[in-house]
Amino acid sequence: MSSLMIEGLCASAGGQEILKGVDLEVRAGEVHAVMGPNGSGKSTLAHVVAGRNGYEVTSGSVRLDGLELVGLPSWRRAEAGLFLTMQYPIEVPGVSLHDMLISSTRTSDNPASVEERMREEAKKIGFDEQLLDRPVNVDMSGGERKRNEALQLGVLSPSFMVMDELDSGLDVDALRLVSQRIEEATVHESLGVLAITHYNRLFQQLTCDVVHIFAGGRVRASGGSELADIVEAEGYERWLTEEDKLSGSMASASDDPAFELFTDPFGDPFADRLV
Amino acid sequence: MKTQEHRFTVDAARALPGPDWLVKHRAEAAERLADTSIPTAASEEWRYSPIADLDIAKYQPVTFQPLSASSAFAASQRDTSTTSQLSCVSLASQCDTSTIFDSSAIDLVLGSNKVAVVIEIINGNVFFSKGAERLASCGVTVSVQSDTSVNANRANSDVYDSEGYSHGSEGYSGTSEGYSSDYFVLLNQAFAAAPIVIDIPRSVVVDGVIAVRSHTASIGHTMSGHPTHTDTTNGHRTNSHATSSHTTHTDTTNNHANNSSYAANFPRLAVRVGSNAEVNVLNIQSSSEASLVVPVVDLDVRSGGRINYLNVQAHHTDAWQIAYHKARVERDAALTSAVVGMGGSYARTRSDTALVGRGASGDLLSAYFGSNDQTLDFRTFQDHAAPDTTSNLLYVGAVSGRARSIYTGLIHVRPEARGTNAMQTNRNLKLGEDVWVESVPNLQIENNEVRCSHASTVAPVDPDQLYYLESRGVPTWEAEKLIVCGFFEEVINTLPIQIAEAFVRDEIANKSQVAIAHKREYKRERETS
Repeated sequence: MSSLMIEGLCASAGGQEILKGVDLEVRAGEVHAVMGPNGSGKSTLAHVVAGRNGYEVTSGSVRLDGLELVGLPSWRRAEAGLFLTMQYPIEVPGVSLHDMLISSTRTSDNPASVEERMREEAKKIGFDEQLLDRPVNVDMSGGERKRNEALQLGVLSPSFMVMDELDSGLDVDALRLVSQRIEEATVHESLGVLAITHYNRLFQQLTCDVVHIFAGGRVRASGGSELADIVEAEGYERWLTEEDKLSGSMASASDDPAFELFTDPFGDPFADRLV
Repeated sequence: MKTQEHRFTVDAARALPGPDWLVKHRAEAAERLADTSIPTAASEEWRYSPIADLDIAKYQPVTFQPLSASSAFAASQRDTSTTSQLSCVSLASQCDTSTIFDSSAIDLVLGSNKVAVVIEIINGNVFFSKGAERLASCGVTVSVQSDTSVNANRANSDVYDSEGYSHGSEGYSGTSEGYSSDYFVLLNQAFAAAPIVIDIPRSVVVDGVIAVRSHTASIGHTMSGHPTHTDTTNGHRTNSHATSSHTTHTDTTNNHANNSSYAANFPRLAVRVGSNAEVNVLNIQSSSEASLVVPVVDLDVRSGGRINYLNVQAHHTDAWQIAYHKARVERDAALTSAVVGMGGSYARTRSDTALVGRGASGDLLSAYFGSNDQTLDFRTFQDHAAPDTTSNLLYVGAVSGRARSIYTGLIHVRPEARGTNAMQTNRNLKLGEDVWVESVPNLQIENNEVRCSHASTVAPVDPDQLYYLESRGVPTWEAEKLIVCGFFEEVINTLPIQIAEAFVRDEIANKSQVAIAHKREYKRERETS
């Protein structure tokens, strides 16, 4: 069976260790949620798996169906079947969505068929067809950008998807359509999902199989949806060590690259305007 | 350079054929030229430029046929026959294959059904013309100004503005008076063939595009209006990036009779639009060897009129270009003036736009791409001399290899220009470690009630954009190419002559492809060593 296997993954940025031995396995068709406080390294996990430059993997492995992803450029990982949806999808001026998708090694070389797939997917998630002719994410609202990510998921049909807070910035209707679309992919295309999120609401439409509590650069607990309920009710307190709390406060006070909220270049300073 | 060594003498200027006024005009300019020295990089205007490398003795002025009255080919029946006789040979067959642009791509643009008039000039000789006679019926003249009659007609004719064109009896000295002490403008005035003049009378809107292509060929290459099928490969100079297959040519003595001197060509174009009239002009500059080309372009827009002007610089990679574009925009008139800079070893365009009437506006655009060892140099001047004038400048460029680009620009708001709205944006993309970019925007504001802004960026390809595309499965080099091409989209979308859009896009795509391939090679070499 197809799987995304993360074993003993340690990674650092700017000399600071952020991931401290992550173990996770997502199998085809499964949905895993990764929940954790700000600064716990969740987004770093997503970007290290996707192969973003600037992180150094010091040990461990990420394998997709046995293929070692560590060391491969991002596009090779995507070609192998991995898809990362970004927390704040960036504008790419002058590059049309169509040209980007046709240049992907995961789509057919036939422009007409890519166009057709884009239109089909746009309908499913309520993405305004007029936006299809726009340059990637340019002048789009936060919600439109997230729908755009879901549209690309449909066109690229990956085998595994890492979602970095796809639910943030989405209104209720959009969230329903987007999570339905992902659910459909997990059921019909056996898509495996690693969903980094703060909120339970993503899982109203999307059936979550496993919840991981992530803190201090590693998985602290894994279980069913009851863990998400605990987070909702009382936060992460019960899983945090004294050291986590200390380093958390240190991180927030410094320019530590591990502290996503301030240093993630995808972190939009106007995030609350995106809704 | 010592003056006695070069060939740009008063005698040489006097020897050029033409009507009396032109001969006189040349002689005056040549005399002043003799007292003027080549500028140096010490002057602000030439700062950062490689002007010190210019060896004027390497060049000799092109010589051309004297023009007969019929060369003013606007409406003469005889011309039509000459035209058809010439039209069977395309310029492409005359061009050296080493021009940076694919000549057939240019021919494709010129062949568009949107092109109303085509004029092709090689070394000052009109080589091909088509369509001018059709426009003549509505008073439009597209002509080589071989004598003063065109002007005389205009001055007396009521289809033109009552104030007429007050540019002296020749008309052709145009608006370039302000340059009268500039070495290269004097050089142009002293050695230019008769100018191409496009005159649009009041309230006439020309729908199609008037295309003027000026090509600089090797000396001795084609000296008559009739094409001579000399061996085009003789003028070929292999540059350091050309393939070695061309290196075994034996030069015949025909082409470089004067001991390997290169052509110096001085194209001249004037576009004059009457009140509420409109015209679209596509002006292509090309060359086939290490020539020196000094084009001077005058754009004159009368009240309520409009000129859409696109200059495509497609010179040979060894050629030098030093160009002057001067525009004057009257009350409620509009100018869109764009420069596409692709070729040349050193290619400079100075572009001055004076907004002289209330409500005048100018959109000033450029897309440029320097590769290998090219230096592309742009100097702009937005002169707001009247109230409520608007100028919007967007210059966008990329450099790769060891290429250099220079942008310096000034917005000048004069005391009387209340209500000015002026923007100046220069964006540069650095594709590689060895490129060099200088971007210097400037403001000089002498009125308080204005809105002015300037911005300049110099940056490599955005790694976050690259990551985004790669994370969708777009290979790194493809992603880079998309981003580089995308970088130019805003300016390409606003180019005034739409038929050239695809051509410009293709050239940018080709250049970025080469740049990215070189970068990958370079990276691999570094990694293996």
